[in-house]
Amino acid sequence: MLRVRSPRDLGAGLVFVAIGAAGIVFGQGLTFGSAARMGPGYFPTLLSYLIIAIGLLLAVRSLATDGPRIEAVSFRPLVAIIAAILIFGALINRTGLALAAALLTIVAAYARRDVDLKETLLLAVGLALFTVVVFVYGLSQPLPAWWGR
Amino acid sequence: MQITRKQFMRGAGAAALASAVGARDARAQDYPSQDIRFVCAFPAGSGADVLVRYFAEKARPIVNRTIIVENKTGAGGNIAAEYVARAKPDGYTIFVHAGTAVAASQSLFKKPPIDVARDIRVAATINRQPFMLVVDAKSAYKTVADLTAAMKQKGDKASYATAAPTGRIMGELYRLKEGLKAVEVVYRSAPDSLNEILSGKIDFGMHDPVFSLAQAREGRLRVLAVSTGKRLDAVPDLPTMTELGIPMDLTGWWAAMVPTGTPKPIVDKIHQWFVQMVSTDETKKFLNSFGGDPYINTPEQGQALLERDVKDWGDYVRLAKIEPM
Amino acid sequence: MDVLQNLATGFGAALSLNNLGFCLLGCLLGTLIGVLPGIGPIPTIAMLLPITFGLDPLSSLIMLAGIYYGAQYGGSTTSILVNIPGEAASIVTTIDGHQMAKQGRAGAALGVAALGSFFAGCVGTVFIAAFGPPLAAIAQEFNSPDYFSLMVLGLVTAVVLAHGSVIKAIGMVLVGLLFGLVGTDVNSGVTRYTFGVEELWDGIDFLPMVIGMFGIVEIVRNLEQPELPRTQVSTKLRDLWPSLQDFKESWRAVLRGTGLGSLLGILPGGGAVLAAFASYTLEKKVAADPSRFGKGAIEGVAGPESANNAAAQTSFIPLLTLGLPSNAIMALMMGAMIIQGIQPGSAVMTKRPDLFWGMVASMWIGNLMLLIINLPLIGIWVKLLSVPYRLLYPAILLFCVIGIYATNTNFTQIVMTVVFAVFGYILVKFDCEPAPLVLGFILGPLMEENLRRSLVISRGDPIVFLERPISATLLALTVGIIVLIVLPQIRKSREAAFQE
Repeated sequence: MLRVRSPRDLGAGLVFVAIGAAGIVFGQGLTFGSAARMGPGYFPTLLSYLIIAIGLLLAVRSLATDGPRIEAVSFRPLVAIIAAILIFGALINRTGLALAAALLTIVAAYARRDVDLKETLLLAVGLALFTVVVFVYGLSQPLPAWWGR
Repeated sequence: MQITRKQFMRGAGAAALASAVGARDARAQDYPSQDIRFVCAFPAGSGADVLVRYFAEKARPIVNRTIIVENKTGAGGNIAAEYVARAKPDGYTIFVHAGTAVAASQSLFKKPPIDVARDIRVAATINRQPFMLVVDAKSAYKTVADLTAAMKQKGDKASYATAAPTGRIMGELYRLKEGLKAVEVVYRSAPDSLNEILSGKIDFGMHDPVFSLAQAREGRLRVLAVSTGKRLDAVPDLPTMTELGIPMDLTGWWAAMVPTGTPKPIVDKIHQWFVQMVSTDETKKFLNSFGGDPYINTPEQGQALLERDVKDWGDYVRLAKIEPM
Repeated sequence: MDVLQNLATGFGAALSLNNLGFCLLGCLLGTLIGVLPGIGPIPTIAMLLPITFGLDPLSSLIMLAGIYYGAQYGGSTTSILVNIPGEAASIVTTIDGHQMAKQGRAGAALGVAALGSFFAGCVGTVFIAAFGPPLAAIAQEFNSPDYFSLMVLGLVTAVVLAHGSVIKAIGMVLVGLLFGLVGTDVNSGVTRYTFGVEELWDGIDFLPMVIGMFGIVEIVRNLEQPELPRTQVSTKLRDLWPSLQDFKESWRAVLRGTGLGSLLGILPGGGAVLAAFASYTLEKKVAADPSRFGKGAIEGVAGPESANNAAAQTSFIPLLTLGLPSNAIMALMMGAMIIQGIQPGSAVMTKRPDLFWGMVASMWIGNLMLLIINLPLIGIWVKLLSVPYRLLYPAILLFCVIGIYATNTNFTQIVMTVVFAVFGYILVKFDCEPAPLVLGFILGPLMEENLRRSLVISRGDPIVFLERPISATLLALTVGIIVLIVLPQIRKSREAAFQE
């Protein structure tokens, strides 16, 4: 029974194999050409094979050498931060910078546990004001400050 | 007298229509009442961006409102074109871009971003500029005829540099007319090709006027001809390829464009602003330094130009056997 | 001597009250904006370009140049403090700089970065003054095969960058290379790996990728810890300033970095980035104890920071002497000059010496100003670090996202940032470092482009890479470095085998 001695190496190996495989699959339509007249597909295909090779090497190594365990993934911070970013991106054109900034701040705050809502709201308002003043009025960035244009 | 329901509805309808028209006129009258955006299809810092920002700056005192330059980059200008076509036709979104590029996009891409005839209108034209045939200043080629003779001799050992679709087409037209076998080497930008032209690895280049003129002034390159149908005031001594027996009219022209449906009074106002800016001596000098002439056309003339270019570029792309993306 | 006389003229022009004022304004603006993660020097200069239209040419150029260096200095600050590189060249600074900050040595890191940059700036200015034209002439010799070999050299150094597993580093470089190929292929005109998404036609955007993989991942990782990071902030001057020991350890790195940066900055393309990465590699190689790197080795900050500032200065050389912009910022400067009615090129030196030498003089003045501005700021930045993290990180996140969106107002940018944040997170969990990937991303496409172009021009003959002296030299250097990397590994495994 094969025992995985270095889970991180195995993980990395799998990622590389996946990327290399994707490179080959999605690069199928590209002309390969020859070494003297390389087509657009030459380099990417070569690279993809090399990446797969490295991935396999790491996977093999993970069975042979010891390595630390993979750290636990805590989903809360990752999901909260990503949600905050996406919400900002989706809303900025509709609700303007001030609101989008405030929302981002609030959602991002919930990446932690025990969030003080009052403090968070204050921070949200503060950042909203600050960014609107600095970016829209100070630096004339093409960002809508509020609803409307 | 009792007003019948029908009469009431008709009356209300007429009033609504009148107020709508009136509102539009009123909107046109108090246009501009908000900040205006100039959309630039190239990233901040590029030559195109500098041009757009120049006009944004010059327009500010005339328009009396802040003009924000918005960079919507990508896909050779397609993203910006789509953005403008979808924008509200109220005159607050103005696309400052090469009309030729918009026209060419109809043929260069399998799925053109917009339907030029349907989605976009020219409000004002800004300049017209040529592409140029350049050679190493140290070389013996003083005229295009010299170059052609040498290229015929060199056959397929000759190479030439291009960096933009216009350059590629210019090169292809030259090759076809003179029956040359020179191999095309494509660069990301004209300056990238300079070292190789100077070291003799590349025999000639078909490049934009900004680069070509800058290097000609430095004495590193020699410009042999321009791609426009007629000579330009900015560079009156440069012969056109047409004069030299290679017929073509590749004139790049920049314009201020708006989405279709923008009310005529607003379009005319935008037109006036640009005419005012383009007519100054300062702008003339600015445009000349980029190798172009100021170019003024009515919105209708500009639109006709656009449609003519759409057709011409369809032909060019087929001729140069450029694969639509 | 002629140079001294010219410099005198230059200083005369640059030291006018007006120009000093504009220099200060530029430096301040640049620093403040450089500190904001996301917004780099290019959008800043583009934004402020219109302001300079009304000024006279020398003043406007001085101000724009001030913004440029200011942004460089500011970019280093964010790299060290919050692990977010202000721009490409500062990526290397994050590796050891941020570690130093975590250890409470932010002041030392910032101080060394500022002082090293100042020194490099002075030397860079002298270079421009004394060696401008001959240096430019060297840059003109570079043809496609030479660029290819330079990129290969650069990529090999990327592997040395890694402080973890070499195999993983190689893998990351290769993945970065592959990512770099996404977009439109110059040589053939077809699109690669774009999945029909228009926004990818010009390739993956640098900013979302870097901010996603460095900045956002850092924030998420910090939030994962049971306790939020609390940097011990002492008010002792000792910790706000590099110690004597720090100076002793870093002065040689500064010298080496300056030399590397001055030379590499002249080359069009990734001059400053390459310089910073190369300097880091060099320092790691010559260090007595290379294992310190990645854990807060001060040479890892001193060298690259000096290198990238030196490169920032010398990257003006091709523009001022030949009229050729060597990177996007220089292209912007060129635009600014053209608008002012000045044709950049060798003519500027002869026809308007006051302009040329005035600019050179103001570069030195600008560096001095930045030093004076930044040193006291160190205290403020360090204090800022003591703001409770729970208040700090939403602000950092917000500024990053605004910076990305403002540069290109497209929702795709936001999506890309998130995609790379998740990707970077996964990689970090598996002990893969992002820095080699970024270097592969930057250098890879250039390498492939020049490789194929060289073969087109030589009609398929590969001998061209060895024929050209520059290319041959660079390839030889590459082989040398590979040997240097591989030898210790072989020795290590032989020792291990021996012991068994």
